[in-house]
This record gives sequence, C-alpha cells and structure tokens, in this order.
Amino acid sequence: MNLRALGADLRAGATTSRALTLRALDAAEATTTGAFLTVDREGALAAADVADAGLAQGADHGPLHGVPVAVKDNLCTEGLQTTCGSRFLEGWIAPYDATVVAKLRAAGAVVVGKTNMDEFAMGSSNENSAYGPVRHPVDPTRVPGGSSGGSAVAVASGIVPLALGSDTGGSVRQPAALCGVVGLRPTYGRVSRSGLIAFASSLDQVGPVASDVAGAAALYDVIAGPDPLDSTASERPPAHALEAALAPGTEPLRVGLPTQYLDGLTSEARSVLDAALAVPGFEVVPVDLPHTEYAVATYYVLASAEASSNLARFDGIRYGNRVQAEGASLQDVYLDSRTAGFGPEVQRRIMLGTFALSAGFFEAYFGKADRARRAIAADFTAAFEDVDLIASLTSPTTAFPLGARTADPLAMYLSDIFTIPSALAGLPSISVPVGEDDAGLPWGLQLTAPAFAEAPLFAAAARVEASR
Amino acid sequence: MSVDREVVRHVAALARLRLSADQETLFTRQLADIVGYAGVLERLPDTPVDPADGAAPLRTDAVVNGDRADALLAAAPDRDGDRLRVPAVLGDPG
Repeated sequence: MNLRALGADLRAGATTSRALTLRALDAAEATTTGAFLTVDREGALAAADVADAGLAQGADHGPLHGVPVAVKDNLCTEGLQTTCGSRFLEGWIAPYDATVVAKLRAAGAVVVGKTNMDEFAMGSSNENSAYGPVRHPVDPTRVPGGSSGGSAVAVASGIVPLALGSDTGGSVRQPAALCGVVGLRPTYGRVSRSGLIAFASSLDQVGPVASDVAGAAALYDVIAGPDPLDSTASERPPAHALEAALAPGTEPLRVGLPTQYLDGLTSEARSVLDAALAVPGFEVVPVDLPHTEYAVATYYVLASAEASSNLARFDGIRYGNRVQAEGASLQDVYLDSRTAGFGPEVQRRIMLGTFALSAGFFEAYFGKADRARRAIAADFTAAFEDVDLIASLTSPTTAFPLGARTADPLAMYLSDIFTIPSALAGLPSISVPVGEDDAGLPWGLQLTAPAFAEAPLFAAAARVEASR
Repeated sequence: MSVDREVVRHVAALARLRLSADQETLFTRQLADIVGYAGVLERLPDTPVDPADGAAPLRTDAVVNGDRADALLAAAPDRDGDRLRVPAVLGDPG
C-alpha cells in the first residue's frame, strides 16, 4: 500500500477516507502480530468523515489528507490512551497532542491507533513491552526489531501506509530494516519532541515509517520544522523532501563505507551491502570513523543516564499509576509505584544510568562518554569533507528469533551497532529495504547525511529504491 | 571498576527501586557485564572540552503552554481540590 496510489484514488473518487480508514481499523483489530495497543474506531471514522467532506468541498490539505496513519504509543494523543508500553501509564490519557500528532491532524491524516513498543522505547526487539511482544510479519517466531516495532509491523503488514516512530539509538531504523519498510531518523532538532515521552532527551527524535521512500518523505514534510514548545527544535525552515524523493536526479554521489563497520560482517551481509550500493552514479569509497569502537558503550552510558533522570518524574504522585499500601510513607509510595510500574529492562537502564551519574563513577563513565560522543561527531564531520553520504547495513543481521537475546542485555545492545553512531552525532539517517535473506527476512541499507540534509538524503534513498 | 551487590543495593536505593534477592543477583551480573564493556571508554584520551559546546541556543523566556492547570491536575492519582494528596511527610499520618 503506497501513499501516492492511495492519494490518487482518493482524489479520483475511486475510494474514500472512510473506506480506507475502515479497512485499516479492521486490519489493526484483526492482526495477530500485537502491533497495536489501542485502536480508535470512533475518533478515526469521525476524522475520516471530516477528510472526505473537506475533499468534496475542495479543501485539500496535501498528501496525507484522508490517509490512515498509526502513531507510536510514546506520543501523546489527546483523549486517547498513551501507555509508552508501560504498566506505569496504563489507562493514562494525555491532556494534549504531541506537536507531531497535531501536525498530522492539521494535514488531514486519520490517526487509527497507537502502536506497541518496547517499554519507554528501551529495546531492540519489541520484547520489552508490558503488553506483550510484537511478532515479525513474515515469521511470527521472530522479532520485528524495536523499539518502534509496532509502527514498523503496522506498515509492513499493509495495515497503514504510514506510521510515526521514535529513534533514540536506532528505534525507527532497525525495526524498519528488519520488517522491510523505510524509516528515517531526522537530524536532532529537526522535528519537535513536544509530547514525545522522554527517554534520552539529547538523542530522542520522532521519525516517519512508510512503505516507500516517497511516503516517508511526505510524512517527514508534515512533521519537520520549528516549534515554540520545544526549545531544541531548530528554527531553520526545512527543505521539501517529497519533491527531492520524486525527482532524485542522477548526479554522481560519493558514498563512504566506514572501514570500521566492515569488521565482523558475515559474507552474506557484505554481499547484500555491496549489491545495495550498486546504484547508477554512486561512487563507493572507504572512509574512516576512528572512534566507532566507543559508540555502543557511549550510547548506553549517556542514554541510560538521561533516562534515569527523565524517569525520576514517574513517582506515582502527579500522573500514572500509584501503588500505596495501608499506612505507607511517601518513600514507600515512590518505591512501590516505581517497582510495580517499571519492567525489568527499564529498571536495568535506570540502574545503569544512576550508577553512571553517581558520586565516584561520574567522571569515569558519564564524563568519558560525553567526550567520546564529541569525538564520534567529529569523525563524521571529517568524513563528510570527502563524501556526500555514509552507508552501512542498518542491522548486522536480519530478524532474530524471539527470546534469542533477552537473557543477555549486552548482546541485545550490540544489535544497534550501526544505528548508534549517527544518533550520537545528531545526524539524519534513513533505512531502505534492499532485499531478503533465504528465509524471506528483509535487509535494510542505512544512509547517513550531514545535519539538516534530509532532502538530498531522501533523494539518494529514492535512487537506491529505484535501482532494486 | 567493578559492580558488586553492595553497589547494586546503593544504586537501587538512589533510583527508588525495590529489588528482591534474586533481582539483586541478576542485576549484579548484568550490570557488571555492561559496565565492564563500558570500560572501553578508559582507552579514550583525556582531552579538555567546553561543556557549553553544542548546547541548544537560548530562547526568549516566554510562556507558551497556556494555562493547563485543570487538565494536568486531573491526571493525578489522588488529589484534594487543587492540591495533590500524598502520605504525610511530617507528624502524625492520621
């Protein structure tokens, strides 16, 4: 299901937003993948009817008008439950829309429901949701990736053509790759984080998931831009990505392949990568990102430290669920609410982050990681003096079996080895499907561009897509 | 630097989490693995950095959220009018 075909059908009168929305709602309720946590039949049909009436009166809000979309459940939706995949927020209804959700509605999109995710976006397999795992659409014994696994599966299974995810260290790109759809992590500051439940504020970005590059670009165009509600949102106006994706050009591009990323790739993975980059006009050259070895450790120290601070607000007092035994003290309320509300991975990351910030360990871990992050960003700046884009696989493997990495958090963390460096550097990266393995499980190619170069990044991704 | 059971207990107390004995054992092993892996950072040379480098630019300090007190108070698990109700911190809890 692709956005342009749907838009053409809608405008030709061959279908209606109500018909598309009904089909999406039925599919979202029927799916056995676990992709959806909440389906909003009433709200979606009302929005669809408004969209249909608008089109009939000539009020066309653009490419997303009347199109069903899914929203990751860490984005606040007014009047609709937002759980963040956690028991702590079960039943919580946000009093406002996230800026990106408000922008979706203003563009005429129809929000059909909220997608499953790793609790507080912490995970690479979607096995950390308090509401059960999401299953891979090709093989239900395998993971879809995470943490935006529900959004990736909702698109990959054809339930919706577009969905919103969020990416802290790879949470849009890795599930997009594992499920065979397109996913973008925008430049840090390109998309507002207002109403995105915070995990690691210096890394979190909202990003589009779509069945094709043009769909992702159209969704990106709607959500990108300044926002007075987020002081880290850039005030520079975004370039038009959909135009770039639809007319990507043929000019020569120098594409850097980091030598550090090639160590340990299987021969199959290497041949997938080489074949994916056999695009007319792409000149593939080696580049050096010398601080790559520090990236995963840097990410897990910094992201966990920020999470331990951000999640301190979940105390059972102001919102979310409180556990209060008879005669409990205030301290007991904090302890019991947090212990009951947070699952094991969230507790582990809070513990790790608290450790990294605690007296005696701060300089050895947080201080060092902060310096490593700057060195990693400087590596990219230097590399982009020589190349237009940097390429890698999005994930070193295709989708792995459920349970394969749950007993060993460190092995799970290493799933993110290719997506973490550009997140630390604040750069835009896109994952594009580039074929399947023998079991039919998708591979994704990741392209990374300089900051705020989303339009040329989408153009390059469209060239990869067209050369398949 | 090693993570042992005492460190795990101390960190859990700081993080306001209760751990069972089994969880202490599990987290001690898992955090020791992760922190051991993060030991790679010790190899990074010490270069001075400006902490303000890369910080977000300052903006005008203007109220933009509007008055949402009622909506925000409505989300509280327990309240008394415009106040959040919590167990007594001082004196007789009765």
